[in-house]
Amino acid sequence: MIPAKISPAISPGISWWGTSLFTRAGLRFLGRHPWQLGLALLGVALGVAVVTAVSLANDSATRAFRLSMEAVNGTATHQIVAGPAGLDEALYRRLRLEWSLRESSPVLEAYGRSGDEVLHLLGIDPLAQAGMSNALRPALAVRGDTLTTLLLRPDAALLSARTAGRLGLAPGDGFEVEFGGRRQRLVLAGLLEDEDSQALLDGLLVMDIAAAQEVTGLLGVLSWIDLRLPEGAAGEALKTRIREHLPPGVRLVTAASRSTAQLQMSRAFHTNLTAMSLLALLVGLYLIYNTMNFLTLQRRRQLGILRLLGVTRGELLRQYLFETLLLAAAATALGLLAGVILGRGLLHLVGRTLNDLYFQLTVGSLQLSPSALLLAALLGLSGTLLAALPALLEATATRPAQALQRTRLEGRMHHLAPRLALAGALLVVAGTLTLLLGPGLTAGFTGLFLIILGCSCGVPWIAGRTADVLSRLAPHLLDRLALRSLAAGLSRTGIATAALMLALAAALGVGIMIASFRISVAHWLEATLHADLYVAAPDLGTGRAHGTLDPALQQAILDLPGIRAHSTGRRVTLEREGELIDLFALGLSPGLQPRYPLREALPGVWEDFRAGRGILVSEPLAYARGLAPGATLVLPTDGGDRPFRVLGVYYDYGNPAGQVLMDRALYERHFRDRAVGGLGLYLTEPERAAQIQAAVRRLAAVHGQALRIRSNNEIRARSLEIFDRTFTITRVLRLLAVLVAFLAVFGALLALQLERSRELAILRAAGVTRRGVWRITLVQTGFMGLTAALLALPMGMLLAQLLIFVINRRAFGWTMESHVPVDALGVTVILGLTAAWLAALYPAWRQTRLPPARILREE
Amino acid sequence: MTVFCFRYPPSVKAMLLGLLLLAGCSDSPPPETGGDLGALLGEVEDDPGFARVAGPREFRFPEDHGAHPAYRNEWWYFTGNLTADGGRRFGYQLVIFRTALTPRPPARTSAWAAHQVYMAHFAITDVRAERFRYFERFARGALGLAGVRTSPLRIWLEDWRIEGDSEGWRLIAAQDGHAIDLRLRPRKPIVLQGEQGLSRKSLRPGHASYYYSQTRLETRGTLRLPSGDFRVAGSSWLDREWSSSALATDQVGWDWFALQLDDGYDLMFYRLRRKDGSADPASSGTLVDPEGRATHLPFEAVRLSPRGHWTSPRGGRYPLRWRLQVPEHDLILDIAPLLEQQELDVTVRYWEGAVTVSGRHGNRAVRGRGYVELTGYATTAGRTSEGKTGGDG
Repeated sequence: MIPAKISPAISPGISWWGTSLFTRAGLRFLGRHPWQLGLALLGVALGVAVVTAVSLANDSATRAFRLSMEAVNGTATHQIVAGPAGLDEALYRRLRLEWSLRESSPVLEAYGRSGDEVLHLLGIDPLAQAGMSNALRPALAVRGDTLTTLLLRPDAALLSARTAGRLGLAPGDGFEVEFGGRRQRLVLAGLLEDEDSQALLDGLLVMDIAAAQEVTGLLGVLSWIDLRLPEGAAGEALKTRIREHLPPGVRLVTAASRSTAQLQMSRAFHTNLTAMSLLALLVGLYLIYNTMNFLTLQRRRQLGILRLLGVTRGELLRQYLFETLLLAAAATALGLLAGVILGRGLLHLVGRTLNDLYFQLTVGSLQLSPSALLLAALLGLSGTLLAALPALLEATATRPAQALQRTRLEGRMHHLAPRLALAGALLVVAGTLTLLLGPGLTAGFTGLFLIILGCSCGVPWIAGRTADVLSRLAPHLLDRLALRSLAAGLSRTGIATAALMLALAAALGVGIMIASFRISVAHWLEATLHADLYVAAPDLGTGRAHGTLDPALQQAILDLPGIRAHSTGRRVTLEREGELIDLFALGLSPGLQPRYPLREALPGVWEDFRAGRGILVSEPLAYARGLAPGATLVLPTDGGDRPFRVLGVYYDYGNPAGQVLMDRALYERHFRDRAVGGLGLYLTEPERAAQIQAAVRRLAAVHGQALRIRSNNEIRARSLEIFDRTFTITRVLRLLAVLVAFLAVFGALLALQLERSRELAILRAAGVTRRGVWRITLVQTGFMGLTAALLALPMGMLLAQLLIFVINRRAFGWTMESHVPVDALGVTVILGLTAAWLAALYPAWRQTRLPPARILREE
Repeated sequence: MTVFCFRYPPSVKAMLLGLLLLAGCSDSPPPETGGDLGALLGEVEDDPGFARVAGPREFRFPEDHGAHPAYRNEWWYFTGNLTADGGRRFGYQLVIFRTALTPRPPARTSAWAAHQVYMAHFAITDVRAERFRYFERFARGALGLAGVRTSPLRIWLEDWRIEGDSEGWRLIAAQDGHAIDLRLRPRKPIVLQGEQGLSRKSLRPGHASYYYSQTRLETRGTLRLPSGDFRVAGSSWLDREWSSSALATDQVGWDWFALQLDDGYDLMFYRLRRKDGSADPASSGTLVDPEGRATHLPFEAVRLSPRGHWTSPRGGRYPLRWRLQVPEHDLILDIAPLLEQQELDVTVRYWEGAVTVSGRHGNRAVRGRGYVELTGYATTAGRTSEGKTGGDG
């Protein structure tokens, strides 16, 4: 009543004085709670850091890929490409001599390995390039005789200064590069020296096309021909003319289509990473919510007094916004900084996964893409403000008299909890609908997020009710006290429990998914690897340049005694309408039956397969193209586009882009390629595998081709190793989410204990021992940890099912057996309790250490 | 998303273009001389593996129209003055250079492996429109991209080609809307230049080439410009030369004249310029009478003086107007370009253009046409800034 009277009179003065005092009061208040502040900062910072790191790593990897494609494509607008056997080089002569296509240049592409470095070999005709890039700025400072050297020496190569530096090479130095198992000694004839384009040239090995053909053994063959065609009607006419003249199986494509096709493949992978990083941020926002709530509660008395003194609601709101923004800005800045550091580590993991799964890529340094940083900063700032909003409204909506009542917020929370749970239920429904109705991966993730967010909304209510019920049932007085106090502090304990639940559920869900995936892969390997020994030529790289066995060596291996049957494999990549299709041609010696685990198939599938009446498609390919047994798939053969009947769909976890399985005889009918990439050897005495392996190795040495010779057990182990490696980054992100959740629980408990310290001090004054205080604390935290963990179990399993049956299917087209490892469930419970109890240590210790009188005085 | 990172990439191809162009002017010595056009790939030390032009040889045709791969450099150099049906005048140049990087082909397995590189220049002078268009090409002598074949005789670089048969020559070249398709018939026998075809380029031994010409080739065919096709007729000149040596170290360039007079005489003269501005005494020429009898003109027999200069917008000052006198034969000729801008700004920059001639031979007034080549007046520096495979003036 008084304020209403005096406020008009003193308002202007108070308002000025009050605001500045208020500001100082606010800052002083925050300074008095460094733990709270620190935790909130750390929580948001970690969340922002993870988002930043993932976003930067994704961007950098994509950029590195685009740059490498730009370096390869140059100013070409189109390319002439052919099937697995490559392009006949004679076509290039016809192009130049008969069709007068001046702006064309031949390319032979392959990948080689020098130590740990993967080198991207581009064999080019330097003399043809001159016609290609008329007005471009050449930026190479090499000696005049370099060109002569390049043309004349079969071992002359150019590297970018950066790559040469990494390999420790100077012009004139020799170095060894392995192409498809063959070691070649090369000489660095010069450097591709251009300051501006080092990133573009990084990892490139440029040779004259003659030398490139010789070191790779790809004689007579081009990978493609670059063309620069004019735009508009003239270009269209030229395209039509070229298409008319191209032999069957040879196609004219736009230069961009291939890079787009490859990037497309890895998009699901990048989306998955982004989703994981957003999860970490979400958990971090819970922490913000908690902290802001705590701070509001702590300051209610102060706020009430200020309101009584006539500080208006608007002023209060501004002050709150200012504080929150300060916090958000500091945390975001910290997060961005940490994100850049974390990003460097992640980039390495991302690059490795891309190399394992999709394409060869030299990922250089982390690119600080401004847009990624800006996005992460915006997410951090807006997320923090959003999380702080409830506390903000609460603080400013309070009428001065109410502000002095401590229990109002709690009372509201008790009202709010059921409503929150209801809202959560609605979110779950919305999420489910999104999941069911939206077809894509993004819709999948959105639905998933809505569902887990909705579920976590129910946690405060459930936790409150359970604490309430248990407090009545508990026989011990202190336990009853502990639980009742917990239920009373629901606005923070409930939310902290929800944050912990969310993190535990995510960890569990992702864990179950990975475990299920791994087991499915293991079973699949078991069912697929039938031969005793596998011999393969190392790839010249992914993409088109799959390795091939020296035919003489192949024959020598098959002539070895002790081999009762064999299979041949040839993997090639076909390209049609801007899409890449992997094809595996399987040849089986008489007596062998193909046995691939099938998901669905037409009757008599293997008989038809062996008779060349159709093909099989892998599950990801079937999913991506909507193919079912009986459908038709058009493939670009050497004789032009041909339809093939799909006989069945087989499980395949080896290739996320999908694969076509074709009988060797059918393959040879449609493709000129006669190369073999690998052999499966069936031994008369499988126990003599080691001796045969050694014999094959000796033969390989004689023929000068290094081969990968592995028993099926070794392949299994190696495949699972690669599998584990690709999930390293997922594990790292999961760990970070749990870390943020731990901070959330720690912060909530700290808040709770600080807030209850007066209560506990009174209890201690009333004769409760230190052990009693410990007991109360441990019961409270134990309850929170256990509740979170127990709720996380069904939630995590639900999450796992969604990841397995919705996300993975949409991202890769894989289905897998769902497998719930029991130990993971146990670990979740232990993790929840441990996190909670660890977080309780400091507050409990502080409580018992200080004499009650002092705490009471402090209050 | 990545707006900031995006920029127009200088591609690998551009780098390699730079490589190629730099090859034309190796970093030492400074490329002040246009140098020997055939020594495309930089100043290379004398390779004892190449055959030397040491003494006279016996020429045999048509075999000697083909390649002489034992020698480092060789060219087939056609120039000519043409007139369209309506009287419109044109000049053209089509030349294919062969350069061997090593004396013998390497033992290699790829069909792309080459030890010979071919370069070609094609130019058209449109006198009325005062336009000069030129093109440059390179190709390796492998995979059939460029080469020389003797039966039937054919010298080609991609789709530019020179074909020979008992009737004469056929020249075919086209690029960017400019094309020629010409038939050339010799009106005089082959002329062996210098001493029975051995043409000294310096008084020091070893600096010489084998050199013969067809000084009068009646020419008919079509010439195409972007604006339309023209039926043309006129007279061409073929120079054939091969050697393994470059210019002597004290020489900076040359002035070369190929003139056809209306009294039936043809005159070839080249003046080799030394660094100090003087003419090398090895300079010489040939006067061919209407029946094809050749008279060697030693350096002292010819007096040559510039009468007017033109400064190229790209730098370099060319003497384009000349007075040429052969007192012994009572010959005084004034030479003027049909168009000043006939400079080819290619790997090695030089001036090569159609000229008109007027003067006196004995007591008769004569007129004539011809081609003049001027090298070593312009630097080729700045070549790295922009790749050129052609241009116009």
